[in-house]
Amino acid sequence: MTAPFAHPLHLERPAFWTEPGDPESWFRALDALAAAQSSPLIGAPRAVADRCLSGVISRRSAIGLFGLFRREGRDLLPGVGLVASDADGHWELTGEARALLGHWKEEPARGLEMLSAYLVRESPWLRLLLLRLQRRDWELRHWVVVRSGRAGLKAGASLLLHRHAEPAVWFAGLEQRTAGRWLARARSQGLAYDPDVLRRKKGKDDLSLAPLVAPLHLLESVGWLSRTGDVTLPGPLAADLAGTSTPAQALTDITAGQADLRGFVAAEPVLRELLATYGVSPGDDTFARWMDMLIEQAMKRGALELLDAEPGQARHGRGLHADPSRKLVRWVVHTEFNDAFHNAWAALGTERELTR
Amino acid sequence: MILAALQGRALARTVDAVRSLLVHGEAPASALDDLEGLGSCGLWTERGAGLVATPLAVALGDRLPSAAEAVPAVFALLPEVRAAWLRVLRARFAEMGERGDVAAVADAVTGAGALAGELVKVEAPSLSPTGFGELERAVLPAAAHEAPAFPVLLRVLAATAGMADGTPAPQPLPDIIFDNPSTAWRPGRLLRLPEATDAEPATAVLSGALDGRGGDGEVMRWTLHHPWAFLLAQLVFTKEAWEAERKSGGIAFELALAHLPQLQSPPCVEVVVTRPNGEEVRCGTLGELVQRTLGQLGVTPLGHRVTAGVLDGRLGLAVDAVQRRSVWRFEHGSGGRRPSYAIHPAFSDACYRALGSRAFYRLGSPVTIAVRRAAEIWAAERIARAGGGAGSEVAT
Repeated sequence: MTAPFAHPLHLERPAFWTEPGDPESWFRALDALAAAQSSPLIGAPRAVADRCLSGVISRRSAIGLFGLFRREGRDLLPGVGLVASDADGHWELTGEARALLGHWKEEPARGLEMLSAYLVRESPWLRLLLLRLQRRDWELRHWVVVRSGRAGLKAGASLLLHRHAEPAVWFAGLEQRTAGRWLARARSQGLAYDPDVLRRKKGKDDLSLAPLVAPLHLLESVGWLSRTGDVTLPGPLAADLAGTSTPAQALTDITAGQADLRGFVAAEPVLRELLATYGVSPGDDTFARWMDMLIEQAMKRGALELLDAEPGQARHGRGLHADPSRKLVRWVVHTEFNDAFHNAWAALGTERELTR
Repeated sequence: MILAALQGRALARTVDAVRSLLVHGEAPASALDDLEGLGSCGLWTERGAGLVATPLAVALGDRLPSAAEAVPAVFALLPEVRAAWLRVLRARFAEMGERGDVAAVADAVTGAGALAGELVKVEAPSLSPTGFGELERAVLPAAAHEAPAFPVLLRVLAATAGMADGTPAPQPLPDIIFDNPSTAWRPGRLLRLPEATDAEPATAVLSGALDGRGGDGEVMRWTLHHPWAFLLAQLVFTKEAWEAERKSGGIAFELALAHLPQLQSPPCVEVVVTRPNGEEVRCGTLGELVQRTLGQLGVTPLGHRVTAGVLDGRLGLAVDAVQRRSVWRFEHGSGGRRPSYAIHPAFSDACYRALGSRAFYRLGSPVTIAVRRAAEIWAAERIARAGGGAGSEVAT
């Protein structure tokens, strides 16, 4: 995967928790980061991890938590974006990360299931693996042995790469399906590997797929992966992976993922996420115009059933109809939302078609 | 106060509490309220309204020829009782000396061991009744001043020599949380031997029950609620994980052909460790592996002189239970493979599902590691011993 694009999004190697059976180490890390946020977290992910997560998780594992940042003029995606950088370069837990953490503390099994869903939606590497398996380009072999052993996933042994076997073509034809949201968020046109990764020591720090054994363990723990290596995702996630979920489904999923324990979400970030799902990331003015039209249409049709609304903080963005007392909302999404979404699409002024 | 606690109904309650502590590992604290002197001996710790025996209590019992003698040994730690019994003992030594019975004196001195230091300090030896007659009739074969009590007195006082000075109180152990095995399998924890159901409730010691503690509807929950089921499940889980590494050898739990008819509840399961070089080492029985694993974990089986043989005798019950619940599966063996036990595929899957993945696989990993380490060390010891001339202990 070399970059024929002017402004590619650069991927780091896959990075998850290093002890495959311990996905909760990421929750512990998020908890530690949340506790450390009394002072701003500044610097590259590696530096933040060294400063705040030493003794909690390994550096390699920590890198996988981070989202987009810029280095040497390049947009880099080191992980899955549970920790995001703002415009000033301050790292902070995202709303979804906070919601995940809250659910995990309340009920660990629920937290793990939500983390699984999050990774299926947000990890380009996991989506790549799942899509390649789905298309039978790749084949998971002897999973029942792999999960018990310590060797991890080995290309050519436990992961057979029948097609798209070379790293240069792993993502070929699947950039949008694997990383569409991230490409929209970074306003990038395509994916590339971080050149630094390719220069690192072979077999140790290179583009090994072995770390993907960790999320596979997690998927098995929630019942989405069988002992024979068959993946069966819940309907909405399968639709998300396949690119066939409706706007109403997508908004319901995003709302469920980002809701706090009371069920409230911040309206603007959630709607921006919804647009990113469709590969669009508009500027503030365009977004405001689109949001107003969408909300008006949706309310009129009863497509968004507003149960409650509250004021929020600056980071919660714009309220409904720019009303600061209605930044946080609790709503139910009905199927009529699909029509409202289609009708409001024009307000984006994008040439992009309404497809994923 | 002490005398009052050692008379009448109070005495019966106190003796019952001490017996319960030694046999079941737990007793109500109120029964020993009046015997504060015992609290500093390290034989138990307080936990809420109850007392929990420590490994020191088990070790004390093991120093004596019968479990029953552990009861007077505990009372021998009460300063007033100890002083009275030492006076009697010293008088018996003097009596033997006066008789010129050199052999008896030599035996008694040998038996006294570290008690000698205390005996020489006794100032008023006496064969008069001690004032603790009621206690003595309850826990000794005769009153202390009577001749039949002498051998027991000598043993219990010798076994407790040095203990009466006080032992640092062990750190209290955390509450046992069924879905967090790391709270249960800790150094200092006691484990009752396998039994069908709890004879007495177990809250701070690990139960020996194989039924009745919960989780009946789902096998992983049942396994987590019943410590012996958990331990046996960890054995076959470790076997599977070890074999998955392919190049690192493995472990097998084999059944001798002679025991095939008893495969559901075998009298003995043989443990064979395969080393990374492919060498098979017939190490011994499941009882010994369990003993070694518990040793690695610092967990003490609650019983009198629990040997590998004793464990083998009780493990049949547990092997039966884990097979009935589809945790273990018996494989008859074919193609040169010997009949053996392995993890049931359904239970193997459960180890990687929500509850199993967290509670059994991750939080139970110290037990997995202990099983593996115990087996590897055992095999290495066998090899070393065979190299030293024992010869036939290494199978191929």
